[in-house]
Amino acid sequence: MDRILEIRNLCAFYGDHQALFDVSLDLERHHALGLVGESGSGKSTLARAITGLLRDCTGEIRFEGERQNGRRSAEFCRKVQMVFQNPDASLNPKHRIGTILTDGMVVQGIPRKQAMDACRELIARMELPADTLERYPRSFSGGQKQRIALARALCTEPELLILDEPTSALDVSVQRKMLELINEIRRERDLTVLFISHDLGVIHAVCDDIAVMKGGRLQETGTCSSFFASPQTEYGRELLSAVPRIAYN
Amino acid sequence: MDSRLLLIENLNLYNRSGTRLVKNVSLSLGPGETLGIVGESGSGKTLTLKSIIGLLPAGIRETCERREINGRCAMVFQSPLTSLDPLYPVFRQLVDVIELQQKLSRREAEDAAKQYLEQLSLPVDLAEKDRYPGELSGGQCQRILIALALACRPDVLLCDEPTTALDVTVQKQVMDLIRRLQQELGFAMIFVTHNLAVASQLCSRIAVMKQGEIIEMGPKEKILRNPVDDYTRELVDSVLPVPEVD
Repeated sequence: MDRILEIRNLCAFYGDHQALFDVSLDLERHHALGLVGESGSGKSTLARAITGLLRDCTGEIRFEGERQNGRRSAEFCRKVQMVFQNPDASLNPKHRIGTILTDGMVVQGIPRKQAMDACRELIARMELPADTLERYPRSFSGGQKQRIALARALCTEPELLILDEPTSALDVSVQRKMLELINEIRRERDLTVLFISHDLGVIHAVCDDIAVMKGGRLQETGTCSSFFASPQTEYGRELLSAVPRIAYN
Repeated sequence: MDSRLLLIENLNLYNRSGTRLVKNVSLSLGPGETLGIVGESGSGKTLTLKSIIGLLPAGIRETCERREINGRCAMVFQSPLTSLDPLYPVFRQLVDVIELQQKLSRREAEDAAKQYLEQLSLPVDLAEKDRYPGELSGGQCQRILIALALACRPDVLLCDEPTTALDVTVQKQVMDLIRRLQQELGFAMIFVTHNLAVASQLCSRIAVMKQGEIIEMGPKEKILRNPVDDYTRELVDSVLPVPEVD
Protein backbone atom coordinates (compact mmCIF):
# COMPACT_ATOMS: atom_id res chain seq x y z
CA MET A 1 0.00 0.00 0.00
CA ASP A 2 1.51 3.29 -1.11
CA ARG A 3 -0.25 6.12 0.68
CA ILE A 4 0.38 9.52 -0.84
CA LEU A 5 -1.63 11.29 1.85
CA GLU A 6 -2.35 10.37 5.44
CA ILE A 7 -4.62 12.46 7.64
CA ARG A 8 -4.92 11.76 11.36
CA ASN A 9 -7.37 13.31 13.84
CA LEU A 10 -7.68 16.51 11.87
CA CYS A 11 -9.74 19.30 13.42
CA ALA A 12 -10.16 22.63 11.64
CA PHE A 13 -11.46 25.95 12.89
CA TYR A 14 -12.82 29.20 11.51
CA GLY A 15 -12.35 31.41 14.56
CA ASP A 16 -14.62 29.96 17.26
CA HIS A 17 -16.39 27.68 14.83
CA GLN A 18 -15.10 24.14 14.51
CA ALA A 19 -15.59 22.87 10.95
CA LEU A 20 -13.84 19.49 11.09
CA PHE A 21 -13.93 16.95 13.91
CA ASP A 22 -11.27 14.24 14.18
CA VAL A 23 -11.03 13.40 10.51
CA SER A 24 -8.70 10.50 9.67
CA LEU A 25 -8.36 9.54 6.04
CA ASP A 26 -5.82 7.86 3.73
CA LEU A 27 -5.37 8.41 0.04
CA GLU A 28 -3.77 5.62 -2.04
CA ARG A 29 -1.39 6.69 -4.79
CA HIS A 30 -2.98 6.54 -8.27
CA HIS A 31 -6.46 6.16 -6.80
CA ALA A 32 -9.31 8.61 -7.18
CA LEU A 33 -11.09 9.27 -3.89
CA GLY A 34 -14.51 10.90 -3.96
CA LEU A 35 -15.36 13.11 -1.02
CA VAL A 36 -19.12 13.46 -0.85
CA GLY A 37 -21.47 15.30 1.49
CA GLU A 38 -24.08 18.04 1.61
CA SER A 39 -23.42 21.75 1.94
CA GLY A 40 -21.64 22.62 5.15
CA SER A 41 -20.34 19.08 5.69
CA GLY A 42 -16.69 20.20 5.61
CA LYS A 43 -15.56 18.84 2.22
CA SER A 44 -13.98 22.06 1.01
CA THR A 45 -12.56 22.79 4.46
CA LEU A 46 -10.74 19.46 4.32
CA ALA A 47 -9.26 20.38 0.92
CA ARG A 48 -8.20 23.77 2.26
CA ALA A 49 -6.56 22.14 5.26
CA ILE A 50 -4.66 19.65 3.07
CA THR A 51 -3.33 22.34 0.75
CA GLY A 52 -2.38 24.68 3.61
CA LEU A 53 -4.89 27.35 2.60
CA LEU A 54 -6.43 26.89 6.05
CA ARG A 55 -3.82 26.81 8.81
CA ASP A 56 -6.03 26.84 11.91
CA CYS A 57 -5.92 23.06 12.34
CA THR A 58 -4.88 20.44 14.85
CA GLY A 59 -3.97 16.86 14.07
CA GLU A 60 -1.61 15.50 11.47
CA ILE A 61 -1.35 15.72 7.69
CA ARG A 62 1.40 13.71 5.99
CA PHE A 63 2.13 14.01 2.28
CA GLU A 64 4.47 11.31 0.95
CA GLY A 65 5.34 10.55 4.56
CA GLU A 66 6.33 14.09 5.44
CA ARG A 67 4.41 15.98 8.05
CA GLN A 68 2.90 19.22 6.73
CA ASN A 69 2.75 22.20 9.03
CA GLY A 70 2.18 25.88 8.34
CA ARG A 71 3.53 27.22 5.07
CA ARG A 72 3.93 24.54 2.43
CA SER A 73 7.21 24.00 0.56
CA ALA A 74 7.64 24.86 -3.13
CA GLU A 75 7.98 21.13 -3.76
CA PHE A 76 4.59 20.48 -2.10
CA CYS A 77 3.01 23.24 -4.17
CA ARG A 78 4.32 21.70 -7.38
CA LYS A 79 3.08 18.25 -6.45
CA VAL A 80 -0.36 19.20 -5.10
CA GLN A 81 -2.65 21.29 -7.29
CA MET A 82 -6.27 22.28 -7.04
CA VAL A 83 -9.20 23.14 -9.30
CA PHE A 84 -11.93 25.24 -7.70
CA GLN A 85 -15.68 25.23 -8.24
CA ASN A 86 -16.11 28.66 -9.75
CA PRO A 87 -13.70 29.50 -12.60
CA ASP A 88 -14.84 33.13 -12.56
CA ALA A 89 -13.41 33.45 -9.08
CA SER A 90 -10.28 31.35 -9.64
CA LEU A 91 -9.04 32.84 -12.95
CA ASN A 92 -7.81 36.43 -12.72
CA PRO A 93 -10.01 38.43 -15.14
CA LYS A 94 -7.24 40.95 -15.81
CA HIS A 95 -4.63 38.39 -16.89
CA ARG A 96 -4.32 36.68 -20.24
CA ILE A 97 -4.68 32.89 -20.11
CA GLY A 98 -0.97 32.61 -21.03
CA THR A 99 0.00 34.48 -17.86
CA ILE A 100 -2.47 32.54 -15.70
CA LEU A 101 -1.12 29.22 -16.92
CA THR A 102 2.59 30.01 -16.80
CA ASP A 103 2.72 31.85 -13.45
CA GLY A 104 2.77 28.58 -11.52
CA MET A 105 5.67 27.27 -13.62
CA VAL A 106 7.60 30.54 -13.36
CA VAL A 107 7.31 30.33 -9.57
CA GLN A 108 8.80 26.84 -9.88
CA GLY A 109 11.82 28.35 -11.71
CA ILE A 110 10.94 27.56 -15.32
CA PRO A 111 11.64 30.43 -17.79
CA ARG A 112 8.42 32.07 -19.07
CA LYS A 113 9.18 31.28 -22.74
CA GLN A 114 9.73 27.60 -22.09
CA ALA A 115 6.60 27.55 -19.94
CA MET A 116 4.55 29.09 -22.77
CA ASP A 117 5.64 26.32 -25.14
CA ALA A 118 4.61 23.67 -22.63
CA CYS A 119 1.24 25.40 -22.24
CA ARG A 120 0.54 25.32 -25.97
CA GLU A 121 0.64 21.52 -25.87
CA LEU A 122 -1.60 21.46 -22.82
CA ILE A 123 -4.13 23.79 -24.48
CA ALA A 124 -4.32 21.47 -27.47
CA ARG A 125 -4.83 18.48 -25.19
CA MET A 126 -7.72 20.30 -23.46
CA GLU A 127 -9.28 20.88 -26.89
CA LEU A 128 -9.19 24.63 -26.40
CA PRO A 129 -8.76 27.08 -29.32
CA ALA A 130 -5.18 27.67 -30.50
CA ASP A 131 -5.28 31.38 -29.63
CA THR A 132 -6.35 30.68 -26.03
CA LEU A 133 -3.09 31.90 -24.46
CA GLU A 134 -3.53 35.40 -25.91
CA ARG A 135 -7.12 35.81 -24.71
CA TYR A 136 -8.74 36.84 -21.41
CA PRO A 137 -10.99 34.58 -19.26
CA ARG A 138 -14.16 36.55 -20.11
CA SER A 139 -14.13 35.42 -23.74
CA PHE A 140 -14.61 31.76 -22.81
CA SER A 141 -17.70 29.74 -21.90
CA GLY A 142 -18.07 28.19 -18.43
CA GLY A 143 -16.95 24.78 -19.65
CA GLN A 144 -13.91 26.22 -21.43
CA LYS A 145 -12.97 28.24 -18.36
CA GLN A 146 -13.07 25.12 -16.23
CA ARG A 147 -10.81 23.32 -18.73
CA ILE A 148 -8.43 26.27 -18.46
CA ALA A 149 -8.52 25.90 -14.67
CA LEU A 150 -7.70 22.20 -15.09
CA ALA A 151 -4.82 23.08 -17.46
CA ARG A 152 -3.53 25.58 -14.88
CA ALA A 153 -3.49 22.87 -12.25
CA LEU A 154 -1.71 20.40 -14.58
CA CYS A 155 1.02 22.90 -15.58
CA THR A 156 3.30 22.03 -12.69
CA GLU A 157 2.90 18.29 -13.41
CA PRO A 158 1.33 17.52 -10.03
CA GLU A 159 1.03 14.10 -8.43
CA LEU A 160 -2.08 14.87 -6.40
CA LEU A 161 -4.91 16.77 -8.02
CA ILE A 162 -7.66 18.12 -5.78
CA LEU A 163 -10.88 18.91 -7.65
CA ASP A 164 -13.41 20.89 -5.61
CA GLU A 165 -16.82 20.59 -7.31
CA PRO A 166 -15.20 21.18 -10.72
CA THR A 167 -18.41 20.55 -12.67
CA SER A 168 -21.10 21.93 -10.35
CA ALA A 169 -21.36 25.25 -12.17
CA LEU A 170 -21.62 23.59 -15.59
CA ASP A 171 -24.58 22.48 -17.69
CA VAL A 172 -25.16 18.72 -17.64
CA SER A 173 -23.99 18.02 -21.19
CA VAL A 174 -20.82 20.08 -20.58
CA GLN A 175 -20.35 18.31 -17.26
CA ARG A 176 -20.34 14.96 -19.00
CA LYS A 177 -17.53 16.00 -21.37
CA MET A 178 -15.51 17.52 -18.52
CA LEU A 179 -15.75 14.28 -16.53
CA GLU A 180 -14.58 12.27 -19.56
CA LEU A 181 -11.61 14.62 -19.93
CA ILE A 182 -10.74 14.29 -16.22
CA ASN A 183 -10.86 10.50 -16.51
CA GLU A 184 -8.57 10.50 -19.58
CA ILE A 185 -6.05 12.93 -18.07
CA ARG A 186 -5.99 10.98 -14.85
CA ARG A 187 -5.02 7.76 -16.65
CA GLU A 188 -2.54 9.46 -19.02
CA ARG A 189 -0.68 11.10 -16.16
CA ASP A 190 -1.14 8.44 -13.50
CA LEU A 191 -2.56 11.04 -11.12
CA THR A 192 -3.90 10.65 -7.65
CA VAL A 193 -7.20 12.49 -7.42
CA LEU A 194 -9.22 13.84 -4.53
CA PHE A 195 -12.60 14.64 -6.06
CA ILE A 196 -15.01 16.72 -3.99
CA SER A 197 -18.64 16.67 -5.04
CA HIS A 198 -22.14 16.75 -3.60
CA ASP A 199 -23.28 14.67 -6.56
CA LEU A 200 -23.03 10.89 -6.18
CA GLY A 201 -23.50 10.45 -9.93
CA VAL A 202 -20.30 12.41 -10.54
CA ILE A 203 -18.37 10.43 -7.91
CA HIS A 204 -19.64 7.19 -9.41
CA ALA A 205 -18.40 8.25 -12.86
CA VAL A 206 -14.86 9.07 -11.74
CA CYS A 207 -13.78 7.55 -8.44
CA ASP A 208 -12.41 4.24 -7.08
CA ASP A 209 -12.91 5.05 -3.40
CA ILE A 210 -15.38 7.18 -1.49
CA ALA A 211 -15.53 9.06 1.81
CA VAL A 212 -18.85 10.39 3.08
CA MET A 213 -18.91 13.47 5.30
CA LYS A 214 -21.62 15.06 7.41
CA GLY A 215 -21.43 17.95 9.84
CA GLY A 216 -17.61 18.03 9.77
CA ARG A 217 -17.27 14.33 10.55
CA LEU A 218 -16.35 11.42 8.37
CA GLN A 219 -19.29 9.02 8.23
CA GLU A 220 -17.89 6.16 6.21
CA THR A 221 -15.10 5.29 3.82
CA GLY A 222 -14.67 2.40 1.41
CA THR A 223 -14.46 1.45 -2.22
CA CYS A 224 -17.08 2.89 -4.55
CA SER A 225 -18.19 -0.56 -5.63
CA SER A 226 -19.04 -1.58 -2.07
CA PHE A 227 -20.60 1.78 -1.18
CA PHE A 228 -22.89 1.87 -4.20
CA ALA A 229 -23.86 -1.77 -3.64
CA SER A 230 -24.59 -1.28 0.04
CA PRO A 231 -23.72 1.78 2.15
CA GLN A 232 -22.52 0.99 5.65
CA THR A 233 -24.14 3.87 7.50
CA GLU A 234 -27.69 5.14 7.80
CA TYR A 235 -26.65 8.51 6.40
CA GLY A 236 -24.83 6.92 3.44
CA ARG A 237 -27.99 5.01 2.62
CA GLU A 238 -30.13 8.13 2.93
CA LEU A 239 -27.80 10.07 0.65
CA LEU A 240 -27.72 7.34 -1.97
CA SER A 241 -31.47 6.83 -2.00
CA ALA A 242 -32.10 10.59 -2.30
CA VAL A 243 -30.37 10.88 -5.69
CA PRO A 244 -33.07 11.52 -8.29
CA ARG A 245 -33.14 8.79 -10.92
CA ILE A 246 -34.95 8.79 -14.23
CA ALA A 247 -38.50 7.51 -13.81
CA TYR A 248 -39.63 6.12 -17.16
CA ASN A 249 -43.25 5.75 -16.17
CA MET B 1 -66.09 24.76 -24.48
CA ASP B 2 -62.33 24.54 -24.16
CA SER B 3 -61.31 22.64 -21.01
CA ARG B 4 -57.69 23.69 -21.21
CA LEU B 5 -56.36 25.77 -18.35
CA LEU B 6 -53.57 27.26 -20.33
CA LEU B 7 -53.01 27.77 -24.02
CA ILE B 8 -50.10 29.64 -25.49
CA GLU B 9 -49.39 29.85 -29.20
CA ASN B 10 -46.21 31.22 -30.72
CA LEU B 11 -44.82 33.15 -27.82
CA ASN B 12 -41.81 35.28 -28.74
CA LEU B 13 -39.69 37.29 -26.31
CA TYR B 14 -37.09 39.89 -27.28
CA ASN B 15 -34.55 41.81 -25.23
CA ARG B 16 -33.80 45.52 -25.60
CA SER B 17 -31.38 45.04 -28.47
CA GLY B 18 -33.97 43.01 -30.37
CA THR B 19 -32.41 39.58 -29.86
CA ARG B 20 -35.06 36.89 -29.75
CA LEU B 21 -34.69 35.01 -26.44
CA VAL B 22 -37.77 32.79 -26.76
CA LYS B 23 -38.87 31.61 -30.21
CA ASN B 24 -42.36 30.44 -31.20
CA VAL B 25 -43.09 28.61 -27.98
CA SER B 26 -46.51 26.92 -27.87
CA LEU B 27 -47.84 25.16 -24.80
CA SER B 28 -51.11 23.84 -23.50
CA LEU B 29 -52.07 22.39 -20.16
CA GLY B 30 -55.26 20.64 -19.08
CA PRO B 31 -56.60 20.31 -15.52
CA GLY B 32 -54.31 18.20 -13.33
CA GLU B 33 -51.66 17.81 -16.04
CA THR B 34 -47.97 18.01 -15.21
CA LEU B 35 -45.51 19.37 -17.75
CA GLY B 36 -41.75 19.49 -17.22
CA ILE B 37 -39.69 22.05 -19.13
CA VAL B 38 -36.10 20.88 -19.30
CA GLY B 39 -33.14 22.77 -20.72
CA GLU B 40 -29.70 24.14 -19.95
CA SER B 41 -28.85 27.65 -18.79
CA GLY B 42 -29.96 30.34 -21.20
CA SER B 43 -32.48 28.11 -22.97
CA GLY B 44 -35.39 30.43 -22.09
CA LYS B 45 -37.28 28.14 -19.74
CA THR B 46 -37.52 30.60 -16.85
CA LEU B 47 -38.48 33.48 -19.17
CA THR B 48 -41.29 31.38 -20.61
CA LEU B 49 -42.60 30.74 -17.10
CA LYS B 50 -42.32 34.42 -16.14
CA SER B 51 -44.21 35.41 -19.27
CA ILE B 52 -47.08 33.09 -18.32
CA ILE B 53 -47.49 34.65 -14.89
CA GLY B 54 -46.79 38.19 -16.12
CA LEU B 55 -43.54 38.81 -14.29
CA LEU B 56 -41.23 39.53 -17.20
CA PRO B 57 -38.21 41.67 -16.29
CA ALA B 58 -38.23 45.28 -17.53
CA GLY B 59 -37.07 45.66 -21.10
CA ILE B 60 -38.35 42.33 -22.39
CA ARG B 61 -40.81 42.73 -25.26
CA GLU B 62 -43.27 39.95 -25.97
CA THR B 63 -45.52 38.95 -28.82
CA CYS B 64 -47.97 36.09 -28.64
CA GLU B 65 -50.50 34.91 -31.21
CA ARG B 66 -52.87 33.40 -28.74
CA ARG B 67 -52.83 33.34 -24.97
CA GLU B 68 -55.63 31.91 -22.85
CA ILE B 69 -55.30 31.40 -19.14
CA ASN B 70 -58.50 29.98 -17.65
CA GLY B 71 -57.48 29.71 -14.04
CA ARG B 72 -55.34 31.03 -11.25
CA CYS B 73 -51.56 30.72 -11.51
CA ALA B 74 -49.03 30.80 -8.68
CA MET B 75 -45.30 30.46 -8.82
CA VAL B 76 -42.57 28.86 -6.68
CA PHE B 77 -39.18 30.47 -7.27
CA GLN B 78 -35.71 29.00 -7.34
CA SER B 79 -34.10 30.87 -4.50
CA PRO B 80 -36.24 30.88 -1.33
CA LEU B 81 -34.07 33.39 0.49
CA THR B 82 -34.33 36.10 -2.14
CA SER B 83 -38.09 35.54 -2.58
CA LEU B 84 -38.99 36.11 1.07
CA ASP B 85 -38.81 39.42 2.92
CA PRO B 86 -35.82 38.94 5.24
CA LEU B 87 -37.09 41.51 7.78
CA TYR B 88 -40.60 40.14 8.25
CA PRO B 89 -41.47 36.93 10.15
CA VAL B 90 -42.28 34.08 7.79
CA PHE B 91 -45.58 33.21 9.45
CA ARG B 92 -46.83 36.76 9.03
CA GLN B 93 -45.81 36.72 5.35
CA LEU B 94 -47.92 33.60 4.93
CA VAL B 95 -50.90 35.06 6.82
CA ASP B 96 -50.72 38.25 4.72
CA VAL B 97 -50.95 36.32 1.48
CA ILE B 98 -53.82 34.15 2.71
CA GLU B 99 -55.74 37.18 4.02
CA LEU B 100 -55.36 38.95 0.68
CA GLN B 101 -55.86 36.03 -1.68
CA GLN B 102 -58.58 34.12 0.11
CA LYS B 103 -60.29 37.29 1.44
CA LEU B 104 -60.41 36.05 5.04
CA SER B 105 -60.28 37.93 8.32
CA ARG B 106 -56.92 38.08 10.10
CA ARG B 107 -57.98 35.44 12.63
CA GLU B 108 -59.29 33.06 9.95
CA ALA B 109 -56.15 33.59 7.87
CA GLU B 110 -54.00 32.68 10.89
CA ASP B 111 -55.94 29.45 11.37
CA ALA B 112 -55.59 28.63 7.68
CA ALA B 113 -51.86 29.40 7.82
CA LYS B 114 -51.44 26.91 10.67
CA GLN B 115 -53.09 24.26 8.53
CA TYR B 116 -50.65 25.00 5.71
CA LEU B 117 -47.74 24.59 8.14
CA GLU B 118 -49.08 21.21 9.09
CA GLN B 119 -49.78 20.18 5.51
CA LEU B 120 -46.23 21.10 4.47
CA SER B 121 -44.62 19.40 7.49
CA LEU B 122 -43.27 22.69 8.85
CA PRO B 123 -42.79 23.22 12.60
CA VAL B 124 -46.09 24.54 13.99
CA ASP B 125 -44.30 26.76 16.49
CA LEU B 126 -43.56 29.11 13.57
CA ALA B 127 -47.04 30.44 14.37
CA GLU B 128 -46.16 31.26 17.98
CA LYS B 129 -42.63 32.57 17.70
CA ASP B 130 -41.53 35.26 15.27
CA ARG B 131 -39.02 33.51 13.03
CA TYR B 132 -37.30 35.23 10.12
CA PRO B 133 -36.28 33.65 6.79
CA GLY B 134 -32.59 33.74 7.78
CA GLU B 135 -33.36 31.56 10.81
CA LEU B 136 -34.90 28.78 8.73
CA SER B 137 -33.08 26.14 6.69
CA GLY B 138 -33.16 26.26 2.88
CA GLY B 139 -35.65 23.39 2.76
CA GLN B 140 -37.95 25.08 5.28
CA CYS B 141 -37.86 28.36 3.36
CA GLN B 142 -38.71 26.51 0.16
CA ARG B 143 -41.72 24.93 1.93
CA ILE B 144 -42.85 28.41 3.01
CA LEU B 145 -42.64 29.51 -0.64
CA ILE B 146 -44.76 26.53 -1.65
CA ALA B 147 -47.26 27.43 1.08
CA LEU B 148 -47.39 31.01 -0.23
CA ALA B 149 -48.09 29.72 -3.73
CA LEU B 150 -50.76 27.28 -2.49
CA ALA B 151 -52.40 30.11 -0.51
CA CYS B 152 -53.38 31.57 -3.91
CA ARG B 153 -55.40 28.38 -4.49
CA PRO B 154 -53.82 27.92 -7.90
CA ASP B 155 -55.23 25.88 -10.75
CA VAL B 156 -51.75 25.96 -12.23
CA LEU B 157 -48.60 25.84 -10.11
CA LEU B 158 -45.54 27.18 -11.89
CA CYS B 159 -42.29 25.87 -10.40
CA ASP B 160 -38.99 27.46 -11.39
CA GLU B 161 -36.18 25.10 -10.32
CA PRO B 162 -37.55 24.95 -6.76
CA THR B 163 -35.15 22.18 -5.70
CA THR B 164 -31.95 23.25 -7.48
CA ALA B 165 -30.53 25.19 -4.52
CA LEU B 166 -31.22 22.37 -2.08
CA ASP B 167 -29.12 19.43 -0.88
CA VAL B 168 -30.18 16.07 -2.35
CA THR B 169 -31.81 14.73 0.81
CA VAL B 170 -33.81 17.97 1.18
CA GLN B 171 -34.53 17.98 -2.56
CA LYS B 172 -36.08 14.55 -2.17
CA GLN B 173 -38.30 15.74 0.70
CA VAL B 174 -39.49 18.76 -1.31
CA MET B 175 -40.12 16.62 -4.41
CA ASP B 176 -42.10 14.09 -2.34
CA LEU B 177 -44.08 16.99 -0.88
CA ILE B 178 -44.88 18.54 -4.27
CA ARG B 179 -45.96 15.14 -5.61
CA ARG B 180 -48.21 14.54 -2.59
CA LEU B 181 -49.80 18.00 -2.77
CA GLN B 182 -50.35 17.67 -6.50
CA GLN B 183 -52.25 14.42 -5.92
CA GLU B 184 -54.21 15.81 -2.97
CA LEU B 185 -55.14 19.17 -4.48
CA GLY B 186 -55.18 18.24 -8.15
CA PHE B 187 -53.57 21.41 -9.49
CA ALA B 188 -51.89 21.38 -12.89
CA MET B 189 -48.18 22.09 -12.86
CA ILE B 190 -45.37 23.34 -15.05
CA PHE B 191 -42.05 22.34 -13.52
CA VAL B 192 -38.94 23.99 -14.92
CA THR B 193 -35.62 22.26 -14.23
CA HIS B 194 -32.27 21.47 -15.82
CA ASN B 195 -32.41 18.03 -14.25
CA LEU B 196 -34.13 15.49 -16.46
CA ALA B 197 -34.32 12.96 -13.63
CA VAL B 198 -36.20 15.42 -11.40
CA ALA B 199 -38.62 16.27 -14.22
CA SER B 200 -39.23 12.59 -14.93
CA GLN B 201 -40.15 11.99 -11.28
CA LEU B 202 -42.77 14.74 -11.18
CA CYS B 203 -44.19 15.17 -14.69
CA SER B 204 -46.10 13.13 -17.21
CA ARG B 205 -45.14 15.27 -20.22
CA ILE B 206 -41.74 16.79 -20.94
CA ALA B 207 -40.73 19.69 -23.18
CA VAL B 208 -37.05 20.13 -24.06
CA MET B 209 -35.89 23.70 -24.64
CA LYS B 210 -32.71 24.81 -26.35
CA GLN B 211 -31.73 28.35 -27.28
CA GLY B 212 -35.24 29.68 -26.77
CA GLU B 213 -37.07 26.98 -28.69
CA ILE B 214 -39.02 23.88 -27.69
CA ILE B 215 -37.21 21.31 -29.78
CA GLU B 216 -39.15 18.29 -28.59
CA MET B 217 -42.27 17.76 -26.48
CA GLY B 218 -44.23 14.65 -25.62
CA PRO B 219 -45.13 12.00 -23.06
CA LYS B 220 -42.24 11.44 -20.67
CA GLU B 221 -41.69 7.82 -21.61
CA LYS B 222 -41.43 8.70 -25.29
CA ILE B 223 -38.94 11.53 -24.65
CA LEU B 224 -36.78 9.43 -22.36
CA ARG B 225 -36.80 6.17 -24.31
CA ASN B 226 -37.08 7.30 -27.92
CA PRO B 227 -35.91 10.87 -28.26
CA VAL B 228 -36.11 12.13 -31.84
CA ASP B 229 -33.84 15.14 -31.51
CA ASP B 230 -30.06 14.71 -31.09
CA TYR B 231 -29.95 17.28 -28.33
CA THR B 232 -32.65 15.48 -26.33
CA ARG B 233 -30.63 12.29 -26.68
CA GLU B 234 -27.54 14.13 -25.46
CA LEU B 235 -29.47 15.39 -22.41
CA VAL B 236 -30.78 11.90 -21.64
CA ASP B 237 -27.24 10.51 -21.97
CA SER B 238 -25.91 13.23 -19.65
CA VAL B 239 -27.87 11.91 -16.68
CA LEU B 240 -25.14 10.14 -14.71
CA PRO B 241 -26.24 6.68 -13.62
CA VAL B 242 -26.36 5.89 -9.92
CA PRO B 243 -27.10 2.32 -8.82
CA GLU B 244 -30.40 1.79 -7.02
CA VAL B 245 -30.36 1.04 -3.32
CA ASP B 246 -32.21 -2.16 -2.52
